[in-house]
Amino acid sequence: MEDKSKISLEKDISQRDQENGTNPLVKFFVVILVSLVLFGSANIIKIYCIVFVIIIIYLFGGLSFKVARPRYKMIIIFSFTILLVQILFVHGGDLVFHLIPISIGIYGPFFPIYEQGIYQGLIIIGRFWGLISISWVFINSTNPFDFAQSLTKIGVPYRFAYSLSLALRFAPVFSIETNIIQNAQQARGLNVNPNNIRGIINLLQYTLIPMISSTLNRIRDITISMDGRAFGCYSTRSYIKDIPFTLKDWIKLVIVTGFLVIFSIL
Amino acid sequence: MALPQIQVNNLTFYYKNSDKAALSNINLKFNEGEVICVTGSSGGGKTTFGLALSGHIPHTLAGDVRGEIIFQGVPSSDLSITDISQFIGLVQQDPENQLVTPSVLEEVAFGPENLSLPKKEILHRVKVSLETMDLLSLVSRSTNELSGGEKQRVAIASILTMCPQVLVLDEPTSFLDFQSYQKLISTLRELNLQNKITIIIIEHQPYLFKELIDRLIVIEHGSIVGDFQKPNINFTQQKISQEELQTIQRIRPKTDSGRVLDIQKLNISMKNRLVAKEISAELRQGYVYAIVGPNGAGKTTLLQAILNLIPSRGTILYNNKKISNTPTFQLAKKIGLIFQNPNHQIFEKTVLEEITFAPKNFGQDLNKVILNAKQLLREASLDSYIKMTPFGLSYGEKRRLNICSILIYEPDLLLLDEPFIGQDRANIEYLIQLLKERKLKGHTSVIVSHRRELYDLVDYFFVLDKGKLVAQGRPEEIVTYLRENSIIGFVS
Repeated sequence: MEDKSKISLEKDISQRDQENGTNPLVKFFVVILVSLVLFGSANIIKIYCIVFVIIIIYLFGGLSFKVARPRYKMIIIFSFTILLVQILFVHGGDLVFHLIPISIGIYGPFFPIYEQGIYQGLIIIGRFWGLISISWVFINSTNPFDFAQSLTKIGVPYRFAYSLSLALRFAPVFSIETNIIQNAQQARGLNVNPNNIRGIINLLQYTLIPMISSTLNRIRDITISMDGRAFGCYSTRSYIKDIPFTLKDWIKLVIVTGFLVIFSIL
Repeated sequence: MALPQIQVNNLTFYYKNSDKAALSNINLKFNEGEVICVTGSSGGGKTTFGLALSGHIPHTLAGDVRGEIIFQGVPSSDLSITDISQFIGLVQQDPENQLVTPSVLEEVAFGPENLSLPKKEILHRVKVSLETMDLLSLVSRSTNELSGGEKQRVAIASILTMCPQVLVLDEPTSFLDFQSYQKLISTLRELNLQNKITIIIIEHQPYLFKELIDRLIVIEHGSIVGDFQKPNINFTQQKISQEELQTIQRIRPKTDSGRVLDIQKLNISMKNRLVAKEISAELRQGYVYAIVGPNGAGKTTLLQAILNLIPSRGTILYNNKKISNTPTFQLAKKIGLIFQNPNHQIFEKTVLEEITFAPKNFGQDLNKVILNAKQLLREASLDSYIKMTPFGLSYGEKRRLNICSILIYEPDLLLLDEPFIGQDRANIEYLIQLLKERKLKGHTSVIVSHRRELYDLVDYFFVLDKGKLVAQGRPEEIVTYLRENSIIGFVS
């Protein structure tokens, strides 16, 4: 019985090692490369091509699109705001149209929209979506502690690598907690989908205050939990799992890098 | 004469920026292999004492410490937190907050990995701890997906891998169902007898560990007010009497009381998994109901579905009106919900604003509401905090504030999710009084809990298991089922 459970545990660990697939460092390197291409390029077609490819990876990589609705809402509102600011304030190129084409006497038409404003706005939105979506791919497909372990292999001190991973590890927990707090607000009669600015500000305040309080409690408890298990006691630590950087990882890295380099030169 | 395993000499502790001593002049000795229970009122200093014993005060938490703790002859000031962590392990009150990694395997291996042990040794320790806590089947699971009871077992296993000689458990039964509690008792007994581990349990209900403990220490206002050895321990002091509980049961609801809630064939899916299957239940006006069942049975999910906080299929009728499509904030005035964690339902800057939060949302007359709020806060002994931030209150005080915040608008139906967790006798008595008053007024209450007290308190039981309603009935009708299936403890 004892041997059987030992075998099963070792089998489980070895299975996990194999399931790891792509080394987290390769994924992280790809995130950096994609970000560089997004910010290095001013070609609108190239930028949206990258966004499109990332969405395809999402669809075929079996990753979850189920991000809380308010987050999509926030991204759309933020993108729209960026676009609006750009088209209103960046004047360059040909005049396309006026937002308010009516003239009152000698005044008007109002708010001229120029080619450059639209172009600039779309580029910034494309970069923003590209960055957000490639980060989602990374977060959804990477165990933060595997990432920390692989960072230590390239010489990053483990205490630093783990603090970064803890932030990633608790991202879904904070999302769950926000959901619980908003449920508690609704259960006391607060409309959590307000349609006015004052309602949104109230909602933010009522969510932020308990979130900050619970985050501080959590930080305290996690510190106690980690200190109580000798975290940081030695300059190095050992690992129950292996996260190798295999030949496959090298090949993937070379292919993606090559593709992105050619893509940005073209 | 052998040295005591732990000796506490004149220990006094003030938290940073506080002029009130959290611990005051504590003197104690613990011997190897003892099983000790530390009890006392909420906010009395029990958790602080646990933190001091496990070296987190002063090593992790700042404050003014006087006196000393000596571990096997060595003063704690000569030891690092790493040295202490291999001698004494602390399992904190809230298991959710102490799980560091995303998987059970990594969590249990976390400590030995930090000690830089060889992989073979880590594997051995992990295996032994998982077996001890009966967790081998959960080894591949994500820690985010575990139930409260499972998280608690993982937290204990992750401390056991550090091979401590002393184990401190802060409210270890809070999130456990009766079966998990029984398992915990036998595990602790085994650890104590076979491995000679000294066990210190911080608990509001010491009688739950009656068979296990040798000694009971009572802490009030940061000081030791009692230290009793077996057989001189009086377990009845902390217990709510059966008589007191039954006063609620004896209030007979009107025989012609109408149907307040009618749940018909309710199905709830979460992450493509059916978590509630074909649940049908009828709740009548003026009754006190209990929803019981093992960890992960779907009890909290059902409460949330009643308020439309999570989507469900099926029909829910409130006072014969279909409410399946009514937004929660509109249902809230009639159906109140008290959540498991009091911290999650505090939003405002002051205690007074907090209690008036819901009435403001319902558009009630604020002048009347404030008068009523002050009265409620007085009754809950919270009136001295009226202008203070609610986040600074103790756990028990926050729970009382949560209750006041619901009482102020008197919902017709009140759902209470694990209201007794972390509460001392005084707070439980306050809750019981609330239930009594509601029943006298003809209001309906539903309690989700694992506590044995429910048997003498409620009028009717619903038993859930794996998302199904497996039994229901009045206490006397269902007693055999509850006992045979170990649903709630000590039903005699």
